[in-house]
Amino acid sequence: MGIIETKQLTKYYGKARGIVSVDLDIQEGEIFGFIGPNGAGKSTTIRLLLSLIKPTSGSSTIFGLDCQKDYRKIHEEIGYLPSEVFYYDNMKVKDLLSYSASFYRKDCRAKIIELAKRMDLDLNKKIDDLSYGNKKKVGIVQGLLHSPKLIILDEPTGGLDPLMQQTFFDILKEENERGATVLFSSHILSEVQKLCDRVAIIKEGKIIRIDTMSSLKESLYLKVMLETPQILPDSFRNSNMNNYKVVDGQVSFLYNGNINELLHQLSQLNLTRISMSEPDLEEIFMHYYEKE
Amino acid sequence: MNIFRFELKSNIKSTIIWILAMCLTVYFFMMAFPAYSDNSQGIIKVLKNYPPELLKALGMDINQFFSAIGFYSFVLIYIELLAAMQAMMLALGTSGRELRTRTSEFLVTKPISRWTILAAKSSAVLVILVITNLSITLTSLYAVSAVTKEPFSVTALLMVCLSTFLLQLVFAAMGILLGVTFRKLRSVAPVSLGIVFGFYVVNMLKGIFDDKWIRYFSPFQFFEKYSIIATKSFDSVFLIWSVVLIVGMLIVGFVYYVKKDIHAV
Repeated sequence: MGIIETKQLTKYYGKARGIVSVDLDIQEGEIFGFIGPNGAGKSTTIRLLLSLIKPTSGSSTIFGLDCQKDYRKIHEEIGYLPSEVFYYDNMKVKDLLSYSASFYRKDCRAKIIELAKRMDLDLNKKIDDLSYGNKKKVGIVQGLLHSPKLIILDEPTGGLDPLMQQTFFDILKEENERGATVLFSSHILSEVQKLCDRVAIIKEGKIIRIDTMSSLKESLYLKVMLETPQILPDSFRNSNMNNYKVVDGQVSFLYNGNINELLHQLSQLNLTRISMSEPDLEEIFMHYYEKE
Repeated sequence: MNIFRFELKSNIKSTIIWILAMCLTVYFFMMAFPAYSDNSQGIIKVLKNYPPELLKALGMDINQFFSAIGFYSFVLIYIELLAAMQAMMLALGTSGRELRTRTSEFLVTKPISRWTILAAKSSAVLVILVITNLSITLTSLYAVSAVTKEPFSVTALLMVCLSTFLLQLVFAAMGILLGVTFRKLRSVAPVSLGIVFGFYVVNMLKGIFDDKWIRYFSPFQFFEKYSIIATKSFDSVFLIWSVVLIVGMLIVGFVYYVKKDIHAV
């Protein structure tokens, strides 16, 4: 059974679209990436999973329990880090963290101290006096202090410097090795690329693709760039070529199809330059977004 | 239990200040009673020349005013205003704490039901109001007995104090309801004071125009202190009406809070 399963999950805010018929199946131990631009529905999906909002239709389960009915039980084992963290007025970091810990039936003190040390966070400071990045660290510790089985992160890296981001990713990977499943939403593809095993791409409220990181990157796409003095015949271009562009006699496209056919086709041409490379996720992603 | 403790702790400073303010007001007003009492005949003459509408709006009843307990119930009109403000600010600030500080996500993603969250907050509000009213009642008992040698009805005094408590509960229930239904809450004090003063104005209008139906919308008029002192009983219609209001607003508040979408900030 999947850790997170959603079936035809749909949310409308009045008439405004949130998400439409989202089907997800996230397995135990995965680091699952969730990518899409702002407003695509990433946060809506996460907020539905956390029972912060109620679905218009469809269902979702976490640990096999209904997200809306059994949320109290589910939350025991969830750590959540929102994209923007806010805390109560006039509280010290350690007070906030022990208040947070008091909701779980575990002794979290050792973990708080360990995480704070690694993130270089001063527990005795007042939260109001912290910088944005340091507040984010409080959020990270707050989300992980009870060693949850499922970690849900909604665009979590904003405000963290690159070094701290690396530490944060290391911590996430360790939590994952410990057995935690991670759902990581982001619009920054390089982050997802670094961390995730599988990704779902969401666009205008709909999941347009779910695949493993490796198959997204390797098996399907080839970035081709070529230069030729001749004018390419219309028959050259076919449906396997996406993002087809001609700029100053330089032709570039993303190819997904039989490579031998492509090579055969290319051998008929008079080429002055050619390069073929594996595209990064960004380019694949752009391709999905430009298609329509 | 942790939310309950957290809310008590968060409200402790303001509660102490409110209790001190109200108890000191009762005490110092009552200390002025002997002077009034000594000059009562002269004052009665002066007051009889005032238009009766004005006296009514001010909450003064000449016949009862010059007994210690009558004077006390006059003082209580101002205490009630303070008490209503306290109850409203406390309840709105407590049930709307996450809304104001944008921490709803923090609390609602914890392994605790929304019902329990609001129940813990409401209990904290109730406990603080009970403590507040005990303090006011004890201060009042002491102050009234200190300024008069004549016997007075302790029952009547306790009932008047109880009516202040009920008034606070009405405003507290209203505050809890508003705290969970508002979409935005920048700061608690202006909203609370606005609402309480609004009802206070309604109260003054009732004194002038004498329209009966206004009384149902004016919590300050639910419990007429002079009639409580005279009859040693509450107006049963308004006693029931206030309980209906309190329970009704709480039910709506709880149901709404359990079902509502917590929106992104």
